[in-house]
Amino acid sequence: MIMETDNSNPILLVEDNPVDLDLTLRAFAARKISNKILVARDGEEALKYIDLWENGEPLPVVILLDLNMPRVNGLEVLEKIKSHERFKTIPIVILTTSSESTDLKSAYHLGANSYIVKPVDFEKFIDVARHIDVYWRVINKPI
Amino acid sequence: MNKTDSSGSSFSLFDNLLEGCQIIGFDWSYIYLNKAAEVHNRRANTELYGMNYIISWPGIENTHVFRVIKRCMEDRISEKIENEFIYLDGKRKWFLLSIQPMPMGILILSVDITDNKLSEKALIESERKFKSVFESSNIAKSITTLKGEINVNKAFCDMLGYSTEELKNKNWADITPQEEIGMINNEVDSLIKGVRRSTRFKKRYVHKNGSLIWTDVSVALVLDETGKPLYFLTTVVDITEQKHAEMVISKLNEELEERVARRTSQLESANRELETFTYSVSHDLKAPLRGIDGYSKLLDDMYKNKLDEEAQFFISSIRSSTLKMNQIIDDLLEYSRLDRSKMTLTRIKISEFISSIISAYSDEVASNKFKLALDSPDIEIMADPKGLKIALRNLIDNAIKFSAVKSDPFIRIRVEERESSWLLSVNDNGVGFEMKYSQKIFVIFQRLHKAEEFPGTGIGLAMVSKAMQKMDGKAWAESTPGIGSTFYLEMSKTK
Repeated sequence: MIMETDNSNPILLVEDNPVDLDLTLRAFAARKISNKILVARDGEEALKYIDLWENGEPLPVVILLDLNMPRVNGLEVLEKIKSHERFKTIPIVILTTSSESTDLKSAYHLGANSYIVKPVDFEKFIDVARHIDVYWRVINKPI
Repeated sequence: MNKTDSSGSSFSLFDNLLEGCQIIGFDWSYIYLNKAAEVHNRRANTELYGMNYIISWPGIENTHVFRVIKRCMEDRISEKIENEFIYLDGKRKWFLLSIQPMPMGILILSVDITDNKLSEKALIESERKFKSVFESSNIAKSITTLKGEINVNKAFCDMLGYSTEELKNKNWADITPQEEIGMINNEVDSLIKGVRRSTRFKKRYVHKNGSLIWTDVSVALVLDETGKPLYFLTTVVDITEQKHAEMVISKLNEELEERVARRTSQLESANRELETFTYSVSHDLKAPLRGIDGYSKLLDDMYKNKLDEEAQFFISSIRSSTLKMNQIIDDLLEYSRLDRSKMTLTRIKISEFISSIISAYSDEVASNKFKLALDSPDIEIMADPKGLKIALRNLIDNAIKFSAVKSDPFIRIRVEERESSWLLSVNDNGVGFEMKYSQKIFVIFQRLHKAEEFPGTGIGLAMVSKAMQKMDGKAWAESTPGIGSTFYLEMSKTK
């Protein structure tokens, strides 16, 4: 599923929960983030992007990755991308519901760049979208 | 032959013999006594010469020695005899008498063997005593020859179910399990070689019924006066019951260890399940909450002008309920995390520690929402920093909440060092509570007030109680309704 918002480099959002997916998109919209947002609905869909990138599709500025997904989970996606010769530099931000999660530790071991606890309070959610926006701009800034 | 003229000269060669020499004529009268005989008779020659032998030893005619002497006198048969004489004063002496015929009657040579006799008697007595102790002892004993032949007492026979007859001439190896013979031979060797005088070991004997009897065996090697080994003296204590008890205990221990291991692994797996469960609770319960809150907010933002006041009130109620539920989930997660966490007691400079906690409230203190005072000596206490912080923060939050209605909220934190504990207290001048609820308030989800009076999830004080419990400490409260409350945390010094 590809949702076009702009023509600059996209953001890849990997999220299986439809409500979380919709709210994240709306939070980005509320923050007026103009990047194209690509969406993968599970790990398998996310991994398909690797082929697309190899075929010259523009790389995302950041990947927002939910860990808890059916079939291929977020950790496997993380491992595949972070062990890829060319794509390992793409910043990956983990979306989690709890900072206590043991998966979070594993994610850091696998090379995750950051994590975000998805807030219940929607206003905070919008705030998080702003942080992500700032984050990828800083991390992708050419030196 | 005349008694008098025969004395003195004719037998003078006997005079200085160490043996007593006395010559008694056919008429039983003393003819000659040398010096030693005088000593043996304890009477002077002069007193005895011419005296009748039978009269000089009253009652002698009924004794065995007299019959021997008489036989020699009459039948001319020489004989040797040991005899105990009783003197007139009742004293006794043993003599070896050599009685031989001679032309004028008989010659009696006497040697004092009293000392020999006494030691011999003592030996016999000692042997008799030993035998009686050996035989009648309740403890199994064996006198074992150097070749290994046993000579056992009744207790030994009873222990192994044999009769004395059945064990006669048996070797210890006959009643010992094959696999122990080597070990015992080593022990025996060490005794023979003089490495040790005695040894002690545990061994089994084969009972007549084939069962094995566990015993504690002490063996001593008995030597003669020249140091030559004579025999082994073995004492055997039946410890089958003790061994059996030991085996039962060791079996029980094994079972217990197994059970502990099983239980531990069950607990570990339960813990893992609980962790998964709490993760799932946080993940799966929160996702729908995000939906409820997000769409309520969107509804409010995008359709505000199409909704009347009541509808907007509904939406804000939905949102506040959602956030409340979110808070409960967070508190529950924290409680479960606390419950699962390990506490390690470390030295804490308590004054600094509390100061850093209350610095988090400096904005509210600065804006005069409440006063916060700390009264603490400059000491170190032993506590888990994380646990103590959770307990103190919850108590301070609690105090702030329940004193906020007062015009001049005042919270005092005190630290007191006691003989065997440290006592921390958080006092407020808030609404207080009735003492009958002083236990109940520490129970999870127990609340004394309506949510609109004082918000809360009913988990805060349960956290305090749990944190203290994890540190082997205690938490309790005292209060007067309308006046205020004091919550106490006590940490024992003896850890």
